[in-house]
Amino acid sequence: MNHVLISLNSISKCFGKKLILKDINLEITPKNAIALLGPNGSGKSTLLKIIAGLAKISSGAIDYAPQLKIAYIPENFPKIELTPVEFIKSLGLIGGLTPAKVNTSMTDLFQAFQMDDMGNVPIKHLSKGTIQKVAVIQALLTTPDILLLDEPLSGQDIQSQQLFIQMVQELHQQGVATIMSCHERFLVNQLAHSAYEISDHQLIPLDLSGLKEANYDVMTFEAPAEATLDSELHHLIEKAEWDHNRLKLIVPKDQSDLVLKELLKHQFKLRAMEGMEQ
Amino acid sequence: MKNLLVYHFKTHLKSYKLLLPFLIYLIYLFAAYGIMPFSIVSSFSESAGVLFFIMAYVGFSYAELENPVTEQLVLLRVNNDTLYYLSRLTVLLIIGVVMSLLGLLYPLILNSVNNDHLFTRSLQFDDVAIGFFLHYLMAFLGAMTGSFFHPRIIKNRKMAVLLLFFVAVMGISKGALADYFPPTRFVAWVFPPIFDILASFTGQEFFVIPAMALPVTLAIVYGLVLMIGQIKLLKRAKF
Repeated sequence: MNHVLISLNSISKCFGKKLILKDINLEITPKNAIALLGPNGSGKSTLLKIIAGLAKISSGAIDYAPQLKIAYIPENFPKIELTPVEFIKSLGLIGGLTPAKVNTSMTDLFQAFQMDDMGNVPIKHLSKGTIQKVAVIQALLTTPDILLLDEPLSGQDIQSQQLFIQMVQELHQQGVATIMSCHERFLVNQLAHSAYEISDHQLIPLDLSGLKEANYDVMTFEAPAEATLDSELHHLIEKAEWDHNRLKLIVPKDQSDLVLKELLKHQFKLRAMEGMEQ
Repeated sequence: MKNLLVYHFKTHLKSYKLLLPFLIYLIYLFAAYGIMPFSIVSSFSESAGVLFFIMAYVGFSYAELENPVTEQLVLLRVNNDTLYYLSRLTVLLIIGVVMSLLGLLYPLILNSVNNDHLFTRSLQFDDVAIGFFLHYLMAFLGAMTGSFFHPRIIKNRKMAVLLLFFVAVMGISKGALADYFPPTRFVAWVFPPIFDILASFTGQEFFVIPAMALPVTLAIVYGLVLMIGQIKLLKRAKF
């Protein structure tokens, strides 16, 4: 059943005299997986907030299906005094879940995101990546109709990113629509069926076929002391993550051999390599 | 509503922002009831007047404390903006009850410790009931005035602090100002009716309900207008 969940009709948004979005039209139906691309400040976050009904529009109209459940993963979750357990529990109860259901879902998600030990640490004392996990967990506590993701994986480790991708893919299977703003091409590749670029205040459809052909490898290396990555190698790598002397990379498959050869030349030792699941 | 209140209280109490106004009011009570005996009406009126300022600060700092991102996440869960904002103001009203009880219980306990000699006459049930109502009314007015200067209603925070200070001071001094500059009476209604309430007790030995009726009605209407006004403005302003 492809009924329209949210329909944006010629909406525009200005901040003071500054035009951000102009005449945007978009229909969101169940199972939609939309990626919003564009440089910083182009209006991606504003558009997500408009879709959520959290930001005022300057002109146009938005129609919502009744009883719509929208979950939102903000780009920067704040450093608040509450602990993850207190915050997630409160949000679950406010959202109408029973205490038992909140506890079960929360425990499962904390375990999945390896946050068991941090549940009772005030959020303000957690690292950026862990705080972002709290933002993700609060959104995944229940199954929404629409999931809005604003740079959802910023600061998260590759393992959490893969788990997150898998969870969002499962939500798609259940019919959840997702709209995501992001920079990472591999994320668009894995999570989006259609993409738009916000350019010149307008929503321009993008052809994803080229991007969809790209597959990725996850490679783990043991690095020699004080090793760094060449700037030239950075161009070939989608994402690099250091953990002491361990380096985890996400690399497009057609570049894997080249990256591997270069790193072996620089005394890096390959410890694991696997294809990234689509 | 219950879960929202629990969430707001947790957030507010963990910030320790309530501690300072609570302590300041306590210190005021210690100082104000230092030398016996007192007129019941004037001491209760003064204490209620101070509570207005304390609660204006509480309301302002509470609005300031609200984090826009967590606010957005909770709003999406509640799916009812009015309920969300009402729950926040209810927290202030509950804090107002606690502060009003403090403002009344302290002299009551002190009076009983001093064998009913704290006041110039013996305390009656009416004094306690009207005294509590008066404190609570002032707490309500203060909280609504302070919270009205919300960061999303007045974005310039320096201006918001100055405006709140001006409005609060004008609320209590508008009568004296009108005596010197009678034309200010025409704009005096803009400010909280603190002076109007306190003036109705001046020189009284007992609380006289008929004399209080009009200023109290005015204060309730004023507080409700601020309450409904800020909910409407916040719903309209969004993020």
